[in-house]
Amino acid sequence: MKRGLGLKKAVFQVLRQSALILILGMALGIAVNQVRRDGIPWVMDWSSEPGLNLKTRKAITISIEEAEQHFLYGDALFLDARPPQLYEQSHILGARNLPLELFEGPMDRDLTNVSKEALIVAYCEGERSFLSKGLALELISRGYKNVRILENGWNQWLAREFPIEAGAWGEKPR
Amino acid sequence: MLALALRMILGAVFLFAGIDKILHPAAFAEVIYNYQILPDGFINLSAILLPWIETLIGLSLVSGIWIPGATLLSATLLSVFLGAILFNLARGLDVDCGCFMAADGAGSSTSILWYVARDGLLLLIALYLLMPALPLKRR
Repeated sequence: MKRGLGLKKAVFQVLRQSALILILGMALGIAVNQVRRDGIPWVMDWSSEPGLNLKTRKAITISIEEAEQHFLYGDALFLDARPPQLYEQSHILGARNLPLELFEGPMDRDLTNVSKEALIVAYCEGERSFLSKGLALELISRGYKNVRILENGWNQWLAREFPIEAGAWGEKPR
Repeated sequence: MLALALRMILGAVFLFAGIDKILHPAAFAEVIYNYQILPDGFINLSAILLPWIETLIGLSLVSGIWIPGATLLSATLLSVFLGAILFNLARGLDVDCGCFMAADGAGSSTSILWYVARDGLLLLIALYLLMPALPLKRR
């Protein structure tokens, strides 16, 4: 930069460059989104978005009481979305382990005898329920129609001292 | 030399962050949605445009073209991001799930504080790099 450039000129230069980057960026964004196959719509109705946004998540979240009911009736498949090590330490009695990271491969194998209409309750640990949310989203996108999330499931289950067990998936007869 | 290293670091961060968001626009849109700050109509637009702006900022910093403009933009963006995170931290919104956290606990998880620290540090770097662009000494 030239020495002696006044402050005003310098400020203008900075602003001009910023504007250029902004405009160029926006132009590229618009152009690429138009042509790419996985572009997203300019405006979307977020209240009906199929992903797990707020509203959908509220719709498929079940309470611990409901989860207990289903557990007692035996009409739900509980899926533990946590890593295998945690699952093996202990998990909800009768739950299967379907860790979020094993999406592509083992998942289909583990759920081959589960109908798409079956009631599935996904749970993991923590208020964010990040793992079970991801698992639920993946299940829904694969066509499972009755997926529910038990938020902060593991902790709630433990707090109420509901039945749990330990052991790796597949160790015991199902 | 320090300025060069910092410029490269800042540039690399913006480059990687921008490209990642370019590759996953829907996921980024959902993150924006979970912040619950923008009106619904602006969400997708932001998810489409912002990543490219970030990527260009990164390219600019790394290649040395338009550095002053890029640093000003990066500082502005970082301020906005930091503001958004702090705002949500203050009102107890968990942006991972878009839900408001219970009063009892993990009000701020470690990852949120990590983002605050990271963006804060990057902002300082951007401001530091911006200074030489504006000769503040009067003649």
